Amino acid sequence: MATTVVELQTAHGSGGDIGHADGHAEHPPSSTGMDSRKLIMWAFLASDTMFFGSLIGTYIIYRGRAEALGVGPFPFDIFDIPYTSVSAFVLLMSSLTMVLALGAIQRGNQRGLRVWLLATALLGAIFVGGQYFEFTLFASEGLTLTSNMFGASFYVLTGFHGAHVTIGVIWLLTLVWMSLRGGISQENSMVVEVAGLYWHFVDIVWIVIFTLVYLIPYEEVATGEGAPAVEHSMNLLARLGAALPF
Amino acid sequence: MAIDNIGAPSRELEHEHEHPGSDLYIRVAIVLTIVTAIEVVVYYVEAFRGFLVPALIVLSVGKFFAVVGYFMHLKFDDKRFAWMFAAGLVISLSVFIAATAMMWSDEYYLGDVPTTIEQ
Amino acid sequence: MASVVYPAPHAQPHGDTSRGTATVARPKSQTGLRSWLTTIDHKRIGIMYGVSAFLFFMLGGFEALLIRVQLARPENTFVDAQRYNELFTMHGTTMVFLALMPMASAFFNYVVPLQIGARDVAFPRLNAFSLWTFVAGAIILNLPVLASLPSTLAYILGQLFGWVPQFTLPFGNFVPDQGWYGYAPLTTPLFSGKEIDFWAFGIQVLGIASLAASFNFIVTIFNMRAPGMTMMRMPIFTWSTLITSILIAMAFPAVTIALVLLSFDRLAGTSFFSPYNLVDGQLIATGGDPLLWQHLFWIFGHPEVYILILPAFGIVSEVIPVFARKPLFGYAVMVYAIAAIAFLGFGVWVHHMFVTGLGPTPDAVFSASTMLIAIPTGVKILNWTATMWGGSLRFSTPMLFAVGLVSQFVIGGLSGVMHAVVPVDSQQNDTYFVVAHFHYVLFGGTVFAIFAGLYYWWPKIFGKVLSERLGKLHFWLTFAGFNLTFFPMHFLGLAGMPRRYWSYGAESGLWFWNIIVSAGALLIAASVWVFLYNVLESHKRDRKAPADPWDGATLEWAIPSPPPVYNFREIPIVTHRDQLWVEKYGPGDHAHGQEDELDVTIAGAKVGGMTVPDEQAGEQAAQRAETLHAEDDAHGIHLPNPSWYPLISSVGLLVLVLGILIDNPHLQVLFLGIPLISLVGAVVMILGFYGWAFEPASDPVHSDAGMGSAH
Repeated sequence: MATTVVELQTAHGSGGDIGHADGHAEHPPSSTGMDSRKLIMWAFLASDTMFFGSLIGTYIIYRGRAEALGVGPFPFDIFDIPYTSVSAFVLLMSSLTMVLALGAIQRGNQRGLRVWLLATALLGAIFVGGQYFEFTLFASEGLTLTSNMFGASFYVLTGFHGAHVTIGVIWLLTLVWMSLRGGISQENSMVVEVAGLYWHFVDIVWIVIFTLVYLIPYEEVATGEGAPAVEHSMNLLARLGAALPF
Repeated sequence: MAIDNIGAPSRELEHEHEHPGSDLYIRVAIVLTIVTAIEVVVYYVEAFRGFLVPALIVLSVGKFFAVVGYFMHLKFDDKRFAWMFAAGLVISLSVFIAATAMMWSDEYYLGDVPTTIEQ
Repeated sequence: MASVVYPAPHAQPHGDTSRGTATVARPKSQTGLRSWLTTIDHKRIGIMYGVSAFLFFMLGGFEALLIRVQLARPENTFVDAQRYNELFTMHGTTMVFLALMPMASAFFNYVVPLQIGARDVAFPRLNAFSLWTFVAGAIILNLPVLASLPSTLAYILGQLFGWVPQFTLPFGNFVPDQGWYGYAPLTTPLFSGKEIDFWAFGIQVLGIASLAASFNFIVTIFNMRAPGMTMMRMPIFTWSTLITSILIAMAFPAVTIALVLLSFDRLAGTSFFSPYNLVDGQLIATGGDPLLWQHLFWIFGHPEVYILILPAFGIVSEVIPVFARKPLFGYAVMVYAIAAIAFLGFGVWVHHMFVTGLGPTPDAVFSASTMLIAIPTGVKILNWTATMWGGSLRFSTPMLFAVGLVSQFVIGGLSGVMHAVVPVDSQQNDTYFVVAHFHYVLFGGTVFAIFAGLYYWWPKIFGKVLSERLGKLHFWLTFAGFNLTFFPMHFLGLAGMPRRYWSYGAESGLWFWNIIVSAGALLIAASVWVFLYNVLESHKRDRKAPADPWDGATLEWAIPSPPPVYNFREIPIVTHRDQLWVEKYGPGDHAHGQEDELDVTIAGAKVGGMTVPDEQAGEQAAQRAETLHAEDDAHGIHLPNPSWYPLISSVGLLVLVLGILIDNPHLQVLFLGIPLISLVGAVVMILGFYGWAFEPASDPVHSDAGMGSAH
């Protein structure tokens, strides 16, 4: 993954490395008219859905197992929905600043590019920091990687996402550095656009995680004190599960 | 034919696309914020319990497509990018819904748990 | 001179003074070791993939031979049960990940850019990174084998002379022994040791290599085609490369995550794949599930089977038309068949898990989907046969191997359909019948196709002719040895001989077919030596190959053998499928019925028609060709420069992983909780990435650069 990212940094030519070497702004057309760097990023993102699919599937399968064995803590003891909502909001806003950065460089505004890129990186860093804080908080409440299957699958899933955000932050800062060295021109805004695609993907993954992991209840019994009574909807899901022929 | 469209040279080059302006992005971001707020409210308000799960899924799918469509430009961009991403999404969704359904169990039965192990 | 510039027709020198910012000096030599280490030429990368894959093919074959020696007679004690487990594990892992997949990569790398009329892949440095990361993964996977050599040697001495070492041997014996699919809970810390870490991280690193390569080839095939080469004019091998790459991109993530979870189980104390965890000698129930590993592994593993066979189908679909002197029958249907196989390949993984008791619904669904795959596969067999029908056949060695595939793969396919039937599969599961099935598919399919491809493209790659006489001997030896080895396994399986057992009883009556199988294995080994002798002799005799020895139909035969570094002096313009035949013979005979016409009719009904939007495409192709040629004229042919960074990044990755794996307390110095060696590796890798990111793909041409002089 990181290598794909690295290759995309190479700011030359729409036909990948080849075909256009001197970094001029002209675009020798590719066979499809699609930019090679954008294409490889979309290919990577399509593949990345499988990564997160595996992890989210694992989480959904295992989250209830802690309940079945009666080994806590359980999701409703732990989750702090208002806190995570703020995190989700921060990541959503970083998507906005990312498109604004792209808009800036497409108009040739180098300063705007740097400001919005830095804002995006900052919001991303706040998200990762918030996640670190959340993890330490959960750990202090007794949820560790090894305490039960809920903990294991939760930490690996959200940690994998956090790693994506961290790589994204480093990438954004690298773009700022490139821009300072004069490496990003208006014609070359594809470098920013591709980074943006990656960044927004990380955002949509969090939209899915926020809903599937934090908001939707899975268990028959909610045991936590601060958790809302959500029996009804759980029954709904249980009925859904029971209706499946497996 | 769809498969040949993938390969047919496109008349549109990247920069001929009109990228939407900043105010559209800001509007989309406001909508996303509101939807997120609605999600949290739905989660807490007792009266919504009956349709909490479908409501949350619909709302998050809406957010998903808003980000993909506007921020990732798929709505304005070459349709073949959208096809590519959609194909990946459909494969992973179907594979993991099937796998999760097969692994899903209401009760998890462990059998007789041995408490010690002979080393 | 900083940049490699080749003269284009009517090239003008071009001046540009901006400089690259590389911090490691750009390598300049074009011969010698350094040029190979830094190369980003797809042809050299392809050759390196091929050579290493062949070495691992020999190693995996050697392991198979040892297995066959052990099973040659009942109650044999040539190896013990533990070493037997290690042998079949390493045989399977080596053949799948280190021999067949990289051999396919070798052909992708060498042939695809030539077939689509490109000068390289879309991201040449990423390509080099894939190669070196593959090498790193292969090293990690085989380090336990290497480290176990002292104990193996002591074992052999003990077997031969009864010598027992009186001192502790270095490293001990820790070769992976859990089978190539690493079923939990055999891989959990309860039942295994360090070897599984090497196995898991090795495959993880190989996965990174495969993923990077797959993205690269998807983009290359979409975007780097010569003007006028629409998707439906692409050679069928290029199609199979594209589909295989998509399969890799979508299948490897599942195993990557499975291995991540396994590594957490092993290194961080979770229990994703084990219902119990051992804490202070007590078993704690955790709720982990070994079945999850099976799901994740086979979600990857079944597409992996198609990753191994689709390139083989592609090679054969190239060879058969050329040696039948007839265009491929039903080209469009062939393309759809590949796509259908790939798509359905994601919906059949549970047929590897029929005996785990998932219930009637999953069994029925996946049984049906598995049978469905037989349809597109059958279509391919039909099309190959119909291509040969009425053609003027030449049975040169590539054709022999290709026809060998068609005939042998059918047998493997049929036993595959048998396994789709759940009750039958429940009987055959874990017997030698399954071993027979997948060797008919992977040897009778993939290995035959690899040899077909080697004989077919050898003159192009090395510019030298292989001996037909030796080639034919090689084929018939392989064919006889293969059938002698694997056909009796059907009987053994039906007689109830289980897989992965290190021995069998003398009274079981299994000895007869087993000794035949072992004899067949020796014959296969002999046939590989015939091939090697053929290669050696061809290089000694040095008979130069012409550019187009087989009267080929695709673009790679339009350029000299071996191809120049820049492949095509002028980027070709493609007007037809089987372009070269049309150029050589006109659009009459050979091209007849290929374009815009119906390809297949069944009972008078049109099944596979394609209309290509020709006018628009033609106009655009002309425009694009004009741009590309103008570019060449103005600047000379620009090739990206060699670079150290892909190698540096891969070495960093290797060191990073080794740091995690080494558990020698003297080496395992922790720094901020991270092994110091890993930290060094990570730093090297990141520096490599940054150097790479800030290094221009190719240096600008300097005005003082002598035109056309390549140093």
